[in-house]
Amino acid sequence: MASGNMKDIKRRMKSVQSTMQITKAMELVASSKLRHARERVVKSRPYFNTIYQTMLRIAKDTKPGDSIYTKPHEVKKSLFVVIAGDRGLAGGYNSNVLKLAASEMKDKNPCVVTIGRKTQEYYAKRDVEVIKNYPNVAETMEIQDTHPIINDILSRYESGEIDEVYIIYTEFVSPMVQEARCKKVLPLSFEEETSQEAKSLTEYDPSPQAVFSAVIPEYLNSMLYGAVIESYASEQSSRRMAMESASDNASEMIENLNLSYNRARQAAITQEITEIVAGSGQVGS
Amino acid sequence: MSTFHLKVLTIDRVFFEGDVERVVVRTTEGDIGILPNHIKYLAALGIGGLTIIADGKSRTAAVAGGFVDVSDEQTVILARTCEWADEIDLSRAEKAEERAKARLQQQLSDREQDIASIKLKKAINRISIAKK
Repeated sequence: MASGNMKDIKRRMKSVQSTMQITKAMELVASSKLRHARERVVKSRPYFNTIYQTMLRIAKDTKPGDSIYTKPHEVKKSLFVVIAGDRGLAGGYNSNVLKLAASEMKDKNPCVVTIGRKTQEYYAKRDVEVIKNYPNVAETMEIQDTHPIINDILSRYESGEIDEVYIIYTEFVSPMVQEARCKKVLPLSFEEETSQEAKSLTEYDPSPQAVFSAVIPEYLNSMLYGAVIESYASEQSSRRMAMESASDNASEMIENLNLSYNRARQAAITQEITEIVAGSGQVGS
Repeated sequence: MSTFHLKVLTIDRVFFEGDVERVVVRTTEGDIGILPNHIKYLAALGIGGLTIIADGKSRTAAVAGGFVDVSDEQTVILARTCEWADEIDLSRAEKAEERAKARLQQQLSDREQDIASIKLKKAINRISIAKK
């Protein structure tokens, strides 16, 4: 019986060991991907800050009613661009985004554009209208890749099919902290920041409206690009953390199993000795 | 000679940053030159060249899309794509030109036609700047 127990423990140790090997490998892969992803995020930040400042300035110089992109109007249908990962095993990353999306969609008439395979799978099973799916784009995303997505959204917005647009993504705060966020991108509103300051007396070539409508797609492209690369960095980061804790748990388990294995081995030896001693005692007498 | 601060940014890098004497860039309305103490100015960029003159030397780059923003403190050019003349892969650009031309020969919808002709323009722009 004791030797059977030992075999069982040995088998479990082996299986935990091989699981640990996998989680360890996934952790390493995620951390190397994370390094690239973070670099991308850092490199794009000066561009965002500048484009945002410029948008603020233009918004200040044009009246809110001047363009359909800024005009507030009655909302009948809201579009949500939901960005999540292509793969699982990333801790709470995917479920946090989808949970936030579900709570933002309450009391609205939503439709979605999904980015990432996990979002696609999620909405395929739910009663929400899906306009388009873009799986497997986050890892290799470049700024050109956002143009078709944004153009499609803009043409729907211009034709009145949708009345507002939100992006739901995960912000990469630090390698330890990622937060799911919901950002309203259309119609644009900078009201809080623009109300007090005076106009900047800028010359627009050819006209403020023309420049505005040329800058808006640019702005939205960079917003979407930013959201995707932030999300991707967050995904890698949370996968790395999840895999790290899985590896830690596995090594703890192995330690415990090792202990019980040794105990079982000792018990088996002790029992054998007892049997031998008892046997030889009977033979001697 | 007086100078002003110029920043040229693309989404994946800071393309150029420094004090310059003069900048010439192609907007949707045509080439404009920017000198120090320019009035505040904002325009969208077309497809064309960007020439930066600093320390008496000039460098040229190919730009497509984006906008230029001149304010009191600095001039910022946010470009969709931007590459120095010596970075352009000439054979790639020539191939892109041929592809776009071939595409324009086919029956296309208006939108596809627009895309192809923009691609052609971009390719021609890059070739002409690389050869300068």
